[in-house]
Amino acid sequence: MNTFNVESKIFGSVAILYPKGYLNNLAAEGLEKECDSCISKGIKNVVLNLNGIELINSIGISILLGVIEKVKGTDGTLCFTNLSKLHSETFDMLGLTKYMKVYASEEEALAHLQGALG
Amino acid sequence: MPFSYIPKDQFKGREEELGFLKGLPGGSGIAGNVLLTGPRGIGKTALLHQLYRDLFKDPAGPIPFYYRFQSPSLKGSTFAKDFFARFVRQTVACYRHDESLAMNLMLPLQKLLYKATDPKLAFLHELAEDFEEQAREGDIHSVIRAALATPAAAAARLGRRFVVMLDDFHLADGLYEDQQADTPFASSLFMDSIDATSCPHIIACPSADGVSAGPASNLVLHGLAEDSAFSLFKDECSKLGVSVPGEVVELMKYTGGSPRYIRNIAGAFHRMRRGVVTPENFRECYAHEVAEGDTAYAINSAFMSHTGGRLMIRPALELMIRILEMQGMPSEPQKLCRALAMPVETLETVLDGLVKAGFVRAGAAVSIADDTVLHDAMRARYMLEVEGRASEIVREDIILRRFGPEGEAPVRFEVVIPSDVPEAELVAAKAVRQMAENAKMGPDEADRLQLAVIEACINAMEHSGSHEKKVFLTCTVKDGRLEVSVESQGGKSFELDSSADKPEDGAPPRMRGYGLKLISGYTDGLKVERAGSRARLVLLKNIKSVKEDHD
Repeated sequence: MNTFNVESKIFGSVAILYPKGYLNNLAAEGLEKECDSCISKGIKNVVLNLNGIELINSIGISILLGVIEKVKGTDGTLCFTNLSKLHSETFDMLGLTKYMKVYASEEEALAHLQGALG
Repeated sequence: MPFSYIPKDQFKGREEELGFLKGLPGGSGIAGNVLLTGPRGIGKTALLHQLYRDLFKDPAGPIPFYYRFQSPSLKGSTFAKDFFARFVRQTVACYRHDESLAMNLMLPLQKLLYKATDPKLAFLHELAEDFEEQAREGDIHSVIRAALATPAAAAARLGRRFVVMLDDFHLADGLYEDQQADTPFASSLFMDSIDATSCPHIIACPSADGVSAGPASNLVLHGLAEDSAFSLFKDECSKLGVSVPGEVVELMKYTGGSPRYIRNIAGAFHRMRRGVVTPENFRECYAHEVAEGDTAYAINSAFMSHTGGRLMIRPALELMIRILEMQGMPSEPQKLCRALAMPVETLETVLDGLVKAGFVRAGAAVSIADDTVLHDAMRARYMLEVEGRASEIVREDIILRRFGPEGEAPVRFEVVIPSDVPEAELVAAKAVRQMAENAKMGPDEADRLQLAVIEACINAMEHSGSHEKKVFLTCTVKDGRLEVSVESQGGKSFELDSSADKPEDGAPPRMRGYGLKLISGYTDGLKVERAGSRARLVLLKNIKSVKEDHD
């Protein structure tokens, strides 16, 4: 069963990723690779639009945290947008929102990133 | 032995049946054979013992002979010798009016024959010589027939009829020559003796199914009437110093009128030190009895002896529970095998044993015997042995099922997922979410529960360390609550101490350990149960409606 895929687009110096499906360990590793690919192309700012994520498990969460740390380590920024009520609640319950930049929409995230980039 | 009878003043509620067996009101003895059936513990043996006692004391009536088949498999030659020896013993005892002689099983046959000093009993020596010659030279069928023909031969020589009582006759098919099951349909060897008109036979067994007893009246023993049942219960409790108020008479319906169950529950009151019978005490004692008490022991012993041993217990229990839950199943073997995922040979062995034991009836459909105590005992055994539940949980379940208000029986679903298939936990989680919706849980709560179930399954799949490669999920809806148990084999699962706390301010995020934190955050209660090598995590979630969900 492979219920996960990720699409992407480049918006200026920002990569927007659209993961879809069940974010488990395998999927999160796939997402991590996609982020690595962006970083290798010199794109350090990534927006993860989680609108298409139906379910996420704790292993997927852990890998996402690793990606956050990795992007941060390159002086980049990883933003999360379009979280469902459940996912937002989950990250909050686990105390992880302090490590995440969360925005309601892609537009908000892009506006923040472009403002930060000057 | 037939002399372990109940005192006449305590033998209640069977006067009509006893009279029938004694040929009353015709008064001229027993006409024809009788097939005496009824569930275990309903009083067939006690009735035969009472009949034996009454006939023993009547010097002018027929001579009673009682034989009980003790084992589901018995060597034919051993049976024949035992049958013959007991017949001689009881005949001599009856003639001499000596009860102690009838009970003295240690007295060898030769010494017993020396006591047959009455000239009228001299024929017994000839019969013994003939039998011993058959035992030396004949084949197994001849030896058994020779033993079984003894009552008719004795009747002809004495000029008096014999009443032959064969108790637990369904075990007669277990007779074998050299090894078990080498003599199928062994009970057919009894047909000649059963047909002998000089020796009416009373054949007792749990059920008429699968029993060949020839032409016979069928006397079915049902439960005692409520007043007789209550009278018996009061007497038994009184002997044990337990007080029984009159208003608890309605509780007798839970015993099915079975004297054995009634006595056992009375005994439970005494063991559990309940000095007065109240509805609450009764429920506790009942639950204890069917889960762990004398009733459970008796039912489980019969179950074990009829289902072919320890290896067959689990398939037999699964079959029983399936039949019980479905209230009947198609009897075609292929359909049963498919429904139970059981090999044909296993199914046929188990089903045959359960039918003979009277636990199950086979016909157009396979159905469980109409005995609610049996149902509860089987459920309890299944929960204890197959599901590995704690005794306390099992007793609570019994009380809820049996004594709860109508319509509040728990609804239970079971799912088995392979632990080596990627994303299998999604199947289980989505099934649970659907069950939650069906139970009118709000969508947000159902979503949270779904996440918790995913984590529980992943934990079981990752940490069980077993070769079984299966995770068992049970989802039960009861009392406005949904209970999900996730179980696997292997001892490393569900270590609740390893849950992650919220990271402190300024500290980097912990990379693992969020699973159990997530489970506890999204449920209303958690329990970890371990039974042997099996571990079970039980998630509890209150069912809040859509409105409550949004409040």
